[in-house]
Amino acid sequence: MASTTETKQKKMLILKSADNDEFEIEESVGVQSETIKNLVEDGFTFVPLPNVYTKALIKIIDYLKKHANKTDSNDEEIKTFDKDFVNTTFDDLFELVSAANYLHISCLMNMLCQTIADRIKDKSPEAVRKIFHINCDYTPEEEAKIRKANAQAFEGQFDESLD
Amino acid sequence: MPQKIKNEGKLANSSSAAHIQKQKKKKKTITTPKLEANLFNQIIISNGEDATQKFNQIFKGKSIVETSNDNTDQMDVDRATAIHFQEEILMDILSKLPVRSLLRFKCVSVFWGTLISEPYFKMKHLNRAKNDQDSQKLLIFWIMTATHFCCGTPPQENQ
Repeated sequence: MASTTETKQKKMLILKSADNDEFEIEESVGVQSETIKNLVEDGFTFVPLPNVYTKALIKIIDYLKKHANKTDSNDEEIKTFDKDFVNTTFDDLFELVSAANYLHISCLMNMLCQTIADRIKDKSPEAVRKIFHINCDYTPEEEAKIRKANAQAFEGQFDESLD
Repeated sequence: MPQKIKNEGKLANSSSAAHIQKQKKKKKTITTPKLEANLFNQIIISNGEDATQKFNQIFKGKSIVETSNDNTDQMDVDRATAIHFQEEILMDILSKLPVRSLLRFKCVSVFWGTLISEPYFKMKHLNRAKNDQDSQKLLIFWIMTATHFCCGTPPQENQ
């Protein structure tokens, strides 16, 4: 008979980033992502993530590890971790939100979208364009029309900073 | 070339985490015939085909300004690793904004303006506001107060 004393070996997964770095994580950590969970349920242990770059993946794995060990006692610790996690540049946040969306990690997605929204809500349209790397494609007349129609929303001073 | 140096810096940096099993691919160069084509000037990482199609759908026939194909400039790596922002993600972000900000951001670009005015987006925004915890508390409070006044019985505190 096979030895049953052998300690249960944790199932591991390998995630491969878009820049071909491989990361080994516990299955229980990975399945917080719906995308990974579906693959695991289909028997995969090697998960290529062609849309997720290493830089974002490292952060996301940290997040998943932290949140996999969530208990009542480390609630504060996780809150601090989350706060620190989103304290980064807009470009990093966009990369993370894109990755979280692809991986279907809803709590992370929610947190990132909320963070971005909170950080842009008092900004001017010009600042938002710069932050999102958008060129305004309205004609000056069209833009003036929209501003006029929503004049109330343009009253007051807005935050022009890009961070 | 400044881009290349940047690229190396980035790779070196990202490989510093101890748990990476190193499997460095030869440095890839990214050429961008189509990338600047998209109107919001956001970055598409994927092969362009899908994305261009999607944008075509979004704009329902509006032509997309394409840069000429002889533009073989290498992309700035920071931009290349930036985002492929899908409509859905942008909607998720915008649905968390207050109405006043949304009205102001209508003039950010045609795409933002269209998105914010879409009935589907409005519904999503409303649903989110309903599910928002604070609003919910307010709603419950409101219902409880109403019950209290209508029926004349205070809400039971203990079972």
